[in-house]
Amino acid sequence: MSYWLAHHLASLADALRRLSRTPFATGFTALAIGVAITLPAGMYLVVKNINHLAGDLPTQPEISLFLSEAASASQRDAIRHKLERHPAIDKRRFVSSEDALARLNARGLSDITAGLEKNPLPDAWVLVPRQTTASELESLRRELALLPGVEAVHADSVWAERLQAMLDIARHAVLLLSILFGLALVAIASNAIRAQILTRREEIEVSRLIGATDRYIRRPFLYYGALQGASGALAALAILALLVASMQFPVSRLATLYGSPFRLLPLDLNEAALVLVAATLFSWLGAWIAVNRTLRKFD
Amino acid sequence: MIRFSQVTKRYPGGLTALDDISLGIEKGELVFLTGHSGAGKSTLLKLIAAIERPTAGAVTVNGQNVGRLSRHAIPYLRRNIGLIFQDHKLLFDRSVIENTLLPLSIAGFDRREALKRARAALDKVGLLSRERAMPVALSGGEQQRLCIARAVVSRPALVLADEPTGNLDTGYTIDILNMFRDFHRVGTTLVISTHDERTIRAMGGRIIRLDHGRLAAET
Repeated sequence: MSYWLAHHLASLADALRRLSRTPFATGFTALAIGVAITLPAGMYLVVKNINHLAGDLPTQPEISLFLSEAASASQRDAIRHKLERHPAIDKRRFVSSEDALARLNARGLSDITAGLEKNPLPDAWVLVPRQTTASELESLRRELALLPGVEAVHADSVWAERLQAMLDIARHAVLLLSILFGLALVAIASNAIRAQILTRREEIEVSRLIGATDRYIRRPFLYYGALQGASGALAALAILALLVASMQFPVSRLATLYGSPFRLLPLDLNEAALVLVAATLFSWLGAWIAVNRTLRKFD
Repeated sequence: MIRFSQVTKRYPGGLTALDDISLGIEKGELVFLTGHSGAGKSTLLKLIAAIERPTAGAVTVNGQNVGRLSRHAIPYLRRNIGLIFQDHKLLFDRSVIENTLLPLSIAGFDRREALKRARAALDKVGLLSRERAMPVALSGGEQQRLCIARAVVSRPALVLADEPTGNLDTGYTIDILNMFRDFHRVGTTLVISTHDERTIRAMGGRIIRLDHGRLAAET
């Protein structure tokens, strides 16, 4: 058992030695793998940031009902009564004009609101309807707009819904891209390992003649593959970090113009670890395929 | 220990290397295989080590039909056989001691024990003082001795040597044959192929002559 461990360590050391002996080839392979990972991971980052930006937006459609400033107390009561009984409305929430202003301030728009002489925001109801199809939303909106004391009714979350749908497509695309580039990674790694195997062909043949099992022969190559994948992942993480850092300034300048404190999110630790593990595994798999194919060919 | 029953080996392309060979080799025997080049000596050795499989007939080593061994079982058969090649098959990117250690590393020996055994094997072939040298720095005779050290380092019961003295001049040849005689004395079974019958006559031992893949004579 201790020997088994020793051979694993020796294989790992051997792989490290071989990688460092050809720094250019190693570097270029790491770069190729890194770029291949950067594409899906970068797209994931874009989706993640848009999602973050749209994070406060409701994903369920909502209806905003604005009361007219001139609405009387009895009209307001009638509206409240109507909304609380209405069968098509699931949830309802009253937002007073003061609450609405406070929320704007909290979103970083205090520069704008501070300049106002009086609160321009009306009292409002935010409603969550039971039915979410467009036609039913529209008929509900029309019905509520006719109530006395109502200034306007907006089914205002349609665009948020559309954004979510678009983000869903983007997420799907990220998944497909990741699979595609995962396959590319297997191919890149497998090719790099094949070159390694050819230079060590003699060693493999001699080892087999004196009783090496396939497992013994495979081991250093698998480590080589895994290390190659890991170095590619590190390259990708470095590229992504550089991209985020270089985009950070223009993005936050644009955000400031809109009075938003938004900043680009980089990959978090879990995501970075996932990239590292996935790249290592895929590259390991590529090595495994390459070695097994070659071993069969030597037979 | 080794038994050939009606063994025929045909290579793809139609060359018949061995034709209906039946013979037995007992434990502890010293056997020389002779014959012209292309007579089938190498093929016979390759069949014993399961490097080739017979087209017909059965080759058994220690009761095991080696022609029928699975891929998975072949390495374990080879660990009990020391192979010596005419072209040495040394690894030129490793030192003398590392070359000698390879079979022990493959068989899973503890490194310290392996080093002890490797040094003993190098001592036996007179290369102990060169353990750190690289194989390129060795003469042809020394490379062959290193190949022998690697073959015997795991103390196999059976040693197969394919033209071990093929490229060597007479002085080295006698050296190496004397080494084989020492192994024979401690009970190792040896099968040695050579086309040079004069040198082996002095050694004693059994001689099997092959001619165009057939058993021509035995003495």
